[in-house]
Amino acid sequence: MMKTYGLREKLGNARPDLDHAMQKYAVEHPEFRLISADVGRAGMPEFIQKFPKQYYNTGIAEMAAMDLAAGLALEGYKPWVYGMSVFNTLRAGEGIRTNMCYQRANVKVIGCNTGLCQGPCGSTHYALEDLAILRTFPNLILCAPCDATQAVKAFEAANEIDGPVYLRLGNGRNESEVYQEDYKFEFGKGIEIAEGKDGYIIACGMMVPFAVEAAKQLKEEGLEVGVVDMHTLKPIDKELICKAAKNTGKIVTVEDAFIIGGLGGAVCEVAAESGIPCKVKRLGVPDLFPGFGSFDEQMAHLGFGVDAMKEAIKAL
Amino acid sequence: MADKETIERLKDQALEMRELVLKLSAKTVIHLGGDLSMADMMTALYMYKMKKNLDYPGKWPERDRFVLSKGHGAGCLYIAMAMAGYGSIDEIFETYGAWGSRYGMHPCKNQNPGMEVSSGSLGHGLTLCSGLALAAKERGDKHHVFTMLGDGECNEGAIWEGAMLAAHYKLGNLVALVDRNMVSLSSPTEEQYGGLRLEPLGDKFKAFGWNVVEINGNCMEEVVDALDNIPDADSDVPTVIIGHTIKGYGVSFMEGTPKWHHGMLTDPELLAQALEEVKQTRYK
Repeated sequence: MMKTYGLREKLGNARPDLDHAMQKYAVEHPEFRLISADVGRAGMPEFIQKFPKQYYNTGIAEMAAMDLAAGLALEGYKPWVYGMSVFNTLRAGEGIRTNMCYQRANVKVIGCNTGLCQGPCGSTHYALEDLAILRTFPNLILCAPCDATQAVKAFEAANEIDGPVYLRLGNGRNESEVYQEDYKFEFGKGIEIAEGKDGYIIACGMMVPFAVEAAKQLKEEGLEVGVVDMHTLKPIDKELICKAAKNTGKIVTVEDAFIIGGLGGAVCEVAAESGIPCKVKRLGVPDLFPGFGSFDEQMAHLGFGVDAMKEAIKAL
Repeated sequence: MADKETIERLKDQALEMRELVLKLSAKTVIHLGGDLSMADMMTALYMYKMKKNLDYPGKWPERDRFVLSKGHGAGCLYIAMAMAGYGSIDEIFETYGAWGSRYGMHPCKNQNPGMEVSSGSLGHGLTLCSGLALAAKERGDKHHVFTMLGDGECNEGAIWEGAMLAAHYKLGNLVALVDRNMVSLSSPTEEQYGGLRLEPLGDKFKAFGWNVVEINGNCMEEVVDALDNIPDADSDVPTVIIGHTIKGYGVSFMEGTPKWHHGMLTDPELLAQALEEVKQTRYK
């Protein structure tokens, strides 16, 4: 068991942390560019103020942001696009697919305000299908960091990759930090936070701290449940999924996204093709457009919070 | 201004390009209506205007960039490139569309590194080229970025995002050519049911802050003159050359009709007629 914080014991802020990481990177790499469709000020305000020559605002034109970034990347620049994940992937998804992935353009994208973390915004702004969409794009690395510290690690790792990478953040403010100890971060290698005997919870993004909490509570009830931080959905860590399946035969997946095609879908694909007998329960947003509500309310009503995870493990 | 000899050479080459387009359409499906309309502008770009553009990306940083935003005109592009020295006409005719070929209906840089970018999804080219142009501008490079747009393509909202963006970032090194042949896949562009009316297209680009040049895009003298007079790469205003052309130019049964937007010319008699008729374009 890795040393972790309790749920909401320590809060992190991925947006300002990435802002600072970008500033450092931009100084070292003059070819770095930040591009945003008018939401840059909400995301990286300090960067924009201090590095105006390395920032482009395309206005409220998400596709232009992706296409501009692709063009710059093809000329050797290192552009990062920052935008709301729902618009990145639906309005400008073709820009990501055809002008980044197909061209193998060295563009990195940050999708913020994902899942249901934008409580009062409603389903126009909830990015629920972004994982499912992006997982189908060849050449793309798709990563959902679990906390602010990991978001910075992913930023640094992405800068070492010559090709498209998508980082899916939550709200990027006041979210639980997970790890109390340092660890090696590598795309495609999930992190086994706890080893399980009675099942595994495989989570991604901001659901990881909730999964850790569920496992802790289950331990008090006498069940040893493993927890996997599956930060990279593509390429997914098949080995770790197979280990969880082989050792316990029970997997619960949890994500703040539609369960169709997202993390749950990816885990099912691997488990089913592995031939290892294993029951899987997917938790996340079911097949409906959620109404308004805080993140905690959404988890409770849609059934993917701590209690739902505990029930699901017991029911398998 | 190019000398008379150069113009005559370009006219010969435009005719050769059209003949090859027609012959290719006898073997495979291409978008021959638009290929025939833009052949003069493609000839002038590839065989007169652009610098060192036929090398693999990165080999010649100073090359002029070209992106076929109307990617379905790939047949014409491949022929233009082959005539200018990149690839071979035989290879196009022998392999087009087959597994492993460098040549398919839309340009693919994974298969064919001679392509600046892969294109085919309409509307993206202008903004993508803005990225190429912005990079060049920031580096102080002196080359131009050329892109060929279809007129029907200008119904795409992304074109106007790109038009705003290029003007905003003062991309005077960007030159868009519009193959204004007045006909898209289904119908004439200005008809009630012909898509969304585009006119006044020049005024629209002007209102977006562009330098607008309107020419007869099937007249080599006018095409060359327009290309001779584009602003220097370090200027601040992007240029659009609206080339008024005729869809299916040079072939009576193809001119001005959406019927030959794409297709195959399989009937040997029609092919022979088309090849005979298209010769007339040389002397206009």
